[in-house]
Amino acid sequence: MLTYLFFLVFCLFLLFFNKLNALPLTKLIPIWLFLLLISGLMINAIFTNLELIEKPMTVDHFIAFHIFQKLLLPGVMILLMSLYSFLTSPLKWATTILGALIFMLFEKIVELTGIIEYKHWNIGFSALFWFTFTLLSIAFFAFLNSKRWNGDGQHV
Amino acid sequence: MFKAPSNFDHNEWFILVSMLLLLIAFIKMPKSMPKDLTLSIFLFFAVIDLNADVLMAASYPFDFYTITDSPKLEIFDVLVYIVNYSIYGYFFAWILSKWKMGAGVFGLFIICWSGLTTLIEWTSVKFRVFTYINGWTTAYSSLCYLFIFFFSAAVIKSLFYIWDYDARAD
Repeated sequence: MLTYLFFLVFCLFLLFFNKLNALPLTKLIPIWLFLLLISGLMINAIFTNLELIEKPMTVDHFIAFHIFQKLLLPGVMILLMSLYSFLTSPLKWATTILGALIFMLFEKIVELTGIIEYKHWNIGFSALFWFTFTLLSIAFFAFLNSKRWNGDGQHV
Repeated sequence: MFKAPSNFDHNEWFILVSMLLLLIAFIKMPKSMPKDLTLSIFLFFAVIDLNADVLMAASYPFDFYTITDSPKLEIFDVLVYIVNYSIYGYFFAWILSKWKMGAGVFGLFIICWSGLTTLIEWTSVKFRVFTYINGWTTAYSSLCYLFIFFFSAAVIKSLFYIWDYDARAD
């Protein structure tokens, strides 16, 4: 049931995403893959190494969680990156705080729906985790659009 | 956050030596793809392997093997995802980009590449990089590789198309 709900939310999100996204596919693809990699590594470390959150252990919760982690989370982060590129310098870094707050809210919704279960997790960990995730993502986005990356020739 | 190896033994040495060889091969090989495409291919193979391991080796939904010393996510697991799998996948994409194949040759290429990957996995099992549990064998892995490389080839071909289209539009 949650799988269908999350999939529906993703389809609705996609409508907004198409209107708001300002990035070309050739930038969007590496960013999306980077977000999948770092969120995958960080979340799995929390589930299996630190054991601060109980991982989803039913098919419905498992698929719903992966729709959240692989589609919704990167999608929202990419929109935040579009916002980052429109803002001027002092406001640019405010997107990291905005992103952390939005993702903390999402995480709470995922917890309230029973997909994940907190064990020794608290709001401080949550803030640190999402701020780090948002900061790494923005840093990667800035790097991908930097003169250093784009300047010296097209090929590696 | 990521666990350090409990013993620095065969599996860590196997990972380090293979990483070094892959890095040397990558540095030496001729480069022909745009930077963003190369980065996307690296990230794609890191992501697909991380997800395959999360699906098949992380207690739920399946638990068929352990990577390196423990079921925990170790520093060497992360290095394997980011460096070894990425570069190995890049070679696969590089051959696809250089060699224009018909359907038959393409099928044969996927079978051979899956066979080579199975052979590397069999060697890595000997060095205890992977420890099979719950009845898993290398034969099952070879079937998974067939699926993974067919899927990867479809994604890589799509990436080539997107970057070609973008270059023509510029």
